[in-house]
Amino acid sequence: MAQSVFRNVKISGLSAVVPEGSIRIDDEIAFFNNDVKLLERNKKILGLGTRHVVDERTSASDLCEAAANDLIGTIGIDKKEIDAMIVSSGSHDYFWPATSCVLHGRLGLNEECSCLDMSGLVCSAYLYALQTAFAMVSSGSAKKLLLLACDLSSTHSDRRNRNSNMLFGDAAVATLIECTEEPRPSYFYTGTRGDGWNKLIVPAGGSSLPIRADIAGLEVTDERGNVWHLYDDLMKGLDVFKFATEVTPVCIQRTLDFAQTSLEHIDYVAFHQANKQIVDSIARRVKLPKENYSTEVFSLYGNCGSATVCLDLIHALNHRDIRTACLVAFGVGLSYGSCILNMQDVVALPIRTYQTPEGKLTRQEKIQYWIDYFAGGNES
Amino acid sequence: MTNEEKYIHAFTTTFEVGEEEAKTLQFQGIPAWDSVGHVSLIAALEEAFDIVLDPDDILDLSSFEKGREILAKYNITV
Repeated sequence: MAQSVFRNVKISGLSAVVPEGSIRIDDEIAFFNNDVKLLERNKKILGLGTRHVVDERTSASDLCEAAANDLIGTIGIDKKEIDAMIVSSGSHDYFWPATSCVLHGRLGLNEECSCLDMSGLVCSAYLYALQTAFAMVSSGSAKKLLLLACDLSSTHSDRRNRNSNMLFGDAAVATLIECTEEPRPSYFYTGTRGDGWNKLIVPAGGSSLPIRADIAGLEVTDERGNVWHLYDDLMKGLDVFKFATEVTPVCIQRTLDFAQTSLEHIDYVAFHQANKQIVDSIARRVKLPKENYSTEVFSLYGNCGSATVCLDLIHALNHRDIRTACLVAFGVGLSYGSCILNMQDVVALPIRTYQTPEGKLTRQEKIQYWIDYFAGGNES
Repeated sequence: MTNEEKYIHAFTTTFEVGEEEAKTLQFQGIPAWDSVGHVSLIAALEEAFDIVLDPDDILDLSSFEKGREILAKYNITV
């Protein structure tokens, strides 16, 4: 499914939430050896600003639930009409069950609603999940599909690791996708370079290297003073930069060719907000005018993984008139994708802050909860 | 500015070093030429010479001298 077109599917609405907690890069000079010049250089080149981060009581499902309820409430559909839900996330609440199943119960969806998670692509996950959602609706397996994308990227690295942590924030986005009788073609192009699978990776925590006592406390300090663990999000930054600048311009052009259009007919290009430098480099390579894309979302929220490209789109829809948008994402996999969408009459709610409700369990309370829950054995 | 001046200027402004030091620089040879500094240098060179560097050349640009060789591939003599 490298390229696909869907003619009778539309996005009806979009919403986004970010956690209330935030970190300003200006408050992190201690992580830059108190070197003002180094901090200012990184701010300028990478576009570092603020990022919103969850506390230990908040999980991906909490942000997804809030974004979903905002969207469902605003559009005014009956939850029972939602007949499929996809959660795209690398930050699933549990190893299993799927976060979509957890959310199915919390949102009170119909028992005949199909739920599945898409995991492991992170940066490009929204593009792939959106393509899958469009395919499901186009095939008739769903009439109304809720797509939720969320990553708690801030939790996947040590704050002392300047190679990654300063880039990452947390967010969730919700997208309602429906069938429509109005011809409304959407074009997708996706690709993978699996030989670069180890360039962006969380090495431990899966079946290859489960987290056991031998690595749980293992802390590595590299020669530049960055501190990391094997269960952190680790990357070869320049290799990823090369990958992004190599494949993404080609991906965009192939999507445009497939749609038989050109960038002059695209009102806005929403990029995966990896960082300002990568986005600007890609834009320069496709000769995209500065007014047709933005890196502001990166400066406001950081790179929020699978939610980022949609967050950028929502931010743009709230600030400018967009009829046709191109979405572009790239990263973990290494994978990439692009799509061209008709955005007319799409409801885009303003990005809002999620406040952790009273009563949410702390980490210690969660540990005790699960011990107590299973302490009695198999009996229900 | 001549091409030579533009080339040196890209290094001196990106890494905040003098001309003579710029000519001796290698990737990761000074704290400022880390991965973030590297992508900043690439942007400075692309803007100065109005070119788009090939991704392989971005990674190959490992020193001041190597940069001269790479720019020659774009018919830029420095």
